[in-house]
Amino acid sequence: MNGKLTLGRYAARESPIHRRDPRAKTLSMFLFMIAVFLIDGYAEAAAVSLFAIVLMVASRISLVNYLKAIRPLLVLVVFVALFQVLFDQSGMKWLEAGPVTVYSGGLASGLISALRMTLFISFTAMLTFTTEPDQLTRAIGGLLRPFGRAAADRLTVMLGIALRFIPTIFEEGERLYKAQVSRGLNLRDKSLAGKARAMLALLAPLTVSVFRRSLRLAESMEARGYRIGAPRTRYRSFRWQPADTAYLILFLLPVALTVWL
Amino acid sequence: MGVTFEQVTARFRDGNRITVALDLLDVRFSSGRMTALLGAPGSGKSTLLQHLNGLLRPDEGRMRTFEYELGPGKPGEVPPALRRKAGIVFQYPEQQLFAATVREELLYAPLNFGMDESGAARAAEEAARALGVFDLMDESPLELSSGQQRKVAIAAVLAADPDLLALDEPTASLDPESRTEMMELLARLCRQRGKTVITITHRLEDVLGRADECVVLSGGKRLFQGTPEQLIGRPDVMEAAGLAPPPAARLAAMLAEKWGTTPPSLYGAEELAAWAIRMARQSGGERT
Amino acid sequence: MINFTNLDRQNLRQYGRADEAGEPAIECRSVSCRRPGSTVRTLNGLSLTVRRGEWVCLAGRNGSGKSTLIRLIAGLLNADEGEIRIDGEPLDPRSIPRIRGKIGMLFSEPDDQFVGLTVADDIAFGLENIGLSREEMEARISRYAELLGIGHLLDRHPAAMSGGQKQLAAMAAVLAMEPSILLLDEAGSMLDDRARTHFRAIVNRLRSTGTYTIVSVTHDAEEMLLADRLVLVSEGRVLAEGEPERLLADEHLLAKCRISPPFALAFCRELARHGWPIGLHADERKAVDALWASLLSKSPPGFGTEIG
Repeated sequence: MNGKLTLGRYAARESPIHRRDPRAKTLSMFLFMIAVFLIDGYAEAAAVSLFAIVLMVASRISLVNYLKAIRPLLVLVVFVALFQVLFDQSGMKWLEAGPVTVYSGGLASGLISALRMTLFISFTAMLTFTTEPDQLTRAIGGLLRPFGRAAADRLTVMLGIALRFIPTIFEEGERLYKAQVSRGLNLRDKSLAGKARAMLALLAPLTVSVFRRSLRLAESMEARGYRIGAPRTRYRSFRWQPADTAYLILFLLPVALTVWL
Repeated sequence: MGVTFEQVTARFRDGNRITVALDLLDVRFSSGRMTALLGAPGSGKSTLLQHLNGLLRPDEGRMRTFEYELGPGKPGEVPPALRRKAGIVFQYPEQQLFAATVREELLYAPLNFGMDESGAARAAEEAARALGVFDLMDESPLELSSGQQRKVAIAAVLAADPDLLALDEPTASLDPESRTEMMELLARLCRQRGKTVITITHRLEDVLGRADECVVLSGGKRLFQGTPEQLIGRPDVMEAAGLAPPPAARLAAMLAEKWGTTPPSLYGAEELAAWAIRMARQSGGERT
Repeated sequence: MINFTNLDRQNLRQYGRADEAGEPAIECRSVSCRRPGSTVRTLNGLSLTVRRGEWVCLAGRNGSGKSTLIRLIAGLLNADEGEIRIDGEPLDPRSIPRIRGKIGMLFSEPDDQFVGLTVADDIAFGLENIGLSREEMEARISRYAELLGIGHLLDRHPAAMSGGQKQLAAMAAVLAMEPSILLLDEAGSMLDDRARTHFRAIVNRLRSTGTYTIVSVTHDAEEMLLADRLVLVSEGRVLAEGEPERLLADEHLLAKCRISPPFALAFCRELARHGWPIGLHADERKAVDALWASLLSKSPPGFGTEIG
């Protein structure tokens, strides 16, 4: 057994996207967001969507998974789209059904809003599908370094520790829950006071434990020479390759399309 | 009646793999006795423990805790009375403490299980006395030593007046003196209050002279069931269960080798000394 | 599983400090320490010297000051009075960052020393702090992981490791920083018996290389027996120090420090009680040998008490 725990939604594959430097992937995501933001017509929407689909296919992860990523926010997307379809009265009358009148402008803005949000959510999911959480945090740290090495390093260490402890604390939470259930904890308790007591019985010990852990961890880190702000080398680092530059430049395409079309 | 497991199988999904924690397990724990549950890590002890009060349900087979029978089903759907009657104490129970005072901590379980306030207060006090923490009732649990915290945590489960008390490694990381104290306490609960006590442990020394029975699990199955003394006489079982022989057994083995005889099955310094003297008399001047 | 070859010993010796004869590795002179915000003294004018290459065990009841002492030596706390010297150099807030490189410390809780997402990352953490290059880090990571027999665990996440494995990883992380002094704060107390025995054996092997000065706080009588010297701490001072076997045979000392005597000792006492004194031995092998010697040398001893 590898023993590596998968946090988030990383799916290991052999794909050109997976192989890219996480920093390039993060930066390209920003470029894509700009392009999506600038979409304001059917043609641009189609072009950017095509671009997105090509890349999603290249990531060797089925499109179904990308669509599933939208599920948590589906209600919001539908609501925003519907709102515009029903109440944006620009353009010409397109459909009349009883009290409801849909205008062409409203239809366009509604559909395009929905598409924009869908593209946004599902495409940014590509970042987490193709990049391990640890790589992401180090990429963020690496990208922030020019803005302040000490602060960026601190952030990287912090995020790394958070990632490392999430499974551990989660397991502890599970054990705690079982222990309190054995003492009669009932989350389905109807009374408000009962629910409050239940939350206390779960959150208080966990919080205390997390504080204790962090104090012990801090001692250990200090004993191993960690000093905030002191320069440190890096065991794991990324190697930027020409392909990464190419990948980044590729994302200028959708931006250009949305500006010109 | 006691506690029985009949052909119980329990499986876990771990990522892509399925582990069988309990494998057609058949075992019976006698009421009112103290049973030690032993076995190597991964042998299924903790899983078994969680079945006792319905936190886990068997995937196959049936188990019974006193008058409550449980087969496959939803863990959420278990009569609350079972939760009260089968008190489970997990490892490092001091991590569960959350109340402002020890008293509140001890009242938590009885109140949750529907005891009225005066009954709960009585139960809390009794449990505190049993664990020797009555003087600490008005203290904050977080400010106690870890040894005291552990006693409070066990008292917190005892306060619900369970008939069964099952503990997972109650002596974990305690110093030797505190370990002895804890095991004596548990033995007392069994004898004086007639509770059925099941303790998971990996140290034979903890249970020698105290536990009525030992159940050894291996690979989710019952490998051995008998008295602790019988267990010491089975080095093959102890090996399979990852149990280190107690110091008495080690010394006995070394001495037996000198005398060219089989090591006796015993524990305790006094017994060992008596045996050594007997052997010396028997060999009466024989040199090896 | 412990694979210290002669080559390993040589490699380890290379990184120890050159022997400056006469200079003790650790020296505590009349050290006192108060709990913050109170007048209670956890340490009360304690003095202790640890020679280079020695393994000293600190024992005593909870609250005796032994944990405070080891934290002082590690530079995690500052003494209110008195002085601590490491290799002759005084330990104070200014010198701590520099001297710290010589000291490696292990704590009792295996989980809360593990910073990295994998064993390799965790070992690398300390090496990143001291500014090593990637190549050097790779070399040290594999060397010390192999030394402790955990080379196959380098990609493991701590949540998928046992307590014993995590503690070995913590040891590898500390050794990789190539300290000359190892401080262990009840490092085996949270491990099961098998893991603790293995860990003890590793510390013993490390001591035998002669590269490390080791101070360990413990409740474990077996560990005390392995050490060169046992120091019993009580009420912030040294109560007694000397050969572990000798001290562990003293009932009063044991009672005062709440230490459970090793079984062999109890056995010797029982024999004596029944009229067959073979001396007091805390070590099992020595007890057996003494018993046998007693059998061979004397004519069968006259037993005062019949045993039924």
